Amino acid sequence: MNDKVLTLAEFCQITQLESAYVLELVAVGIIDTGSREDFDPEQILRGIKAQRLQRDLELDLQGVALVLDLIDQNQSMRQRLQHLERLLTRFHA
Amino acid sequence: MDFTDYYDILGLEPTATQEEIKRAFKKLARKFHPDVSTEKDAQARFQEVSEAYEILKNADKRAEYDQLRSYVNNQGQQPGSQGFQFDTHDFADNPQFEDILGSIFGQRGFDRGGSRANGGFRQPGRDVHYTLQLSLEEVHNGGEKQVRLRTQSGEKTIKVKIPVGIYNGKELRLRGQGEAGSGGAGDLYLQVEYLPHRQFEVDGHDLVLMLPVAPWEAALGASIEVPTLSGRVKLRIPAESKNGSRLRLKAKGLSKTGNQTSEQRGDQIVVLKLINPPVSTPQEQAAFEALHTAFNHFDPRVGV
Repeated sequence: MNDKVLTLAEFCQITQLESAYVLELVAVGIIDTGSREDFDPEQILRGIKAQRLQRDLELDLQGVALVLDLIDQNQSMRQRLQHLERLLTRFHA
Repeated sequence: MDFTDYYDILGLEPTATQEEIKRAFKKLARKFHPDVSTEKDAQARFQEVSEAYEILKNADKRAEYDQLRSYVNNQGQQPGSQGFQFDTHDFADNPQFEDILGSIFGQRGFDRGGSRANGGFRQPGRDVHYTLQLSLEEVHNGGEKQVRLRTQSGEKTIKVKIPVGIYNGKELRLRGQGEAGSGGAGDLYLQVEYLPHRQFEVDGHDLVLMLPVAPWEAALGASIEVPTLSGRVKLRIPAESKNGSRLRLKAKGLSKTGNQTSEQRGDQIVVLKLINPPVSTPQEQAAFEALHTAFNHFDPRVGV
C-alpha cells in the first residue's frame, strides 16, 4: 500500500520501541523486513501490538507471534464469513 | 470522583487470595485485551481490570484500598454497587483519607495502561480506540474525512486522511490524539469498518454485485447496464448463462495500491440471479406453456 520504507531508527522513533526489541521482533518473524533492513510502515502497529500483548498478557515472543498470526487469520475468516452470509442473503432476497 | 469496587470488577470476594486475584486478572485480561477481544467495550473493561489488579496485587496498596473501601461502605453505601459517586468533600475534612486517596490514586502511582508502575512519575495519557465507519464511496474516492469523537472531555472533531482503497479492518494510529496525560497524550487508534452498501458486497479488493436477470436474458444473452463505483457500464451477458454465473468487470473494484490507477485495482464480480417473471395474464401463461412444449425433453431434476 505504501512504497515508502523506514530505517530501523525511523521505525523505532515512530513506534517508540527500543531498537534491540525491534530486532528481536524481526528475529522471531513478527516483523518482516525482507532481505534488507527496510521497515514497511504497515508493520508499525504490529510492533506496537506485539509489545502491548507481551506486556499486558505476560507472553513470550513466540506466543506473541502466534497470537498476532491468529488475530490476522481470525479477522480474515470473519470478513470472509460475513461476506458470504451477506451474499447469501442477497441471493435469497 | 468515582469509587469503584475492584473486587467486583475482578468478580472476586474481598477475601480472595493473591493467587485468586492473579488468576482472575489473567483470565479477564485475555478476554478483554483490546488487541484480541471482539467485545464491544473491551478497551474500557481492560482498563478497569488492569486498574483493579494494579492495586490488589500489591499487598500494601490492597490494604490501603481495603481500608478505604470499608470506610466508603460504612458511609451507608451499598457494597458491590460499582462506580457509585463519592463526594470528595467528605474527604476534605478527613486528612487520613486524603492521604490514602493520594497514595492510591492521586499521584498517579500506578499505570492504568497495565504496564509496570514506574514509581508515580509522568503518566502518559491513555490510548483510545474507535471504529471509523466508511462507505464504499469514501473508500473508493479517498480524501479527507471529518470524524467526530466523543471523549471524556466532550466532543472533538478531527480530520483523517483516507487513503484510496483503505482496507476493511485496517487500523490507523494518530499519535498524540488520545487522552491527555501528564507525560504527553496517548494515541488515537481508528479501525476501519466498511459500512454495508446498498448494492455492493466486498470480497478483499473485489466488489460483488448481485444482478437480477430475466430467463431469456440469461438464455439468449444480453447487454445490460450495471452500476460500478465509478459510474454505470455496459456488461455483455453471454448466451446460456446460468443462475449464479459470475462475470468479471476488470479493474472496477477497490484500489490495492492507494492510488486511482486502474492496473492495481480489484475487479467487480457480477453474479447473475435469474428471476422468473410473475405469470398472471392468459398470454403470459401461454408463453410458459409454449416453453414447456419446446423443452419437452428438459429435466431440471437429473440426479435428484
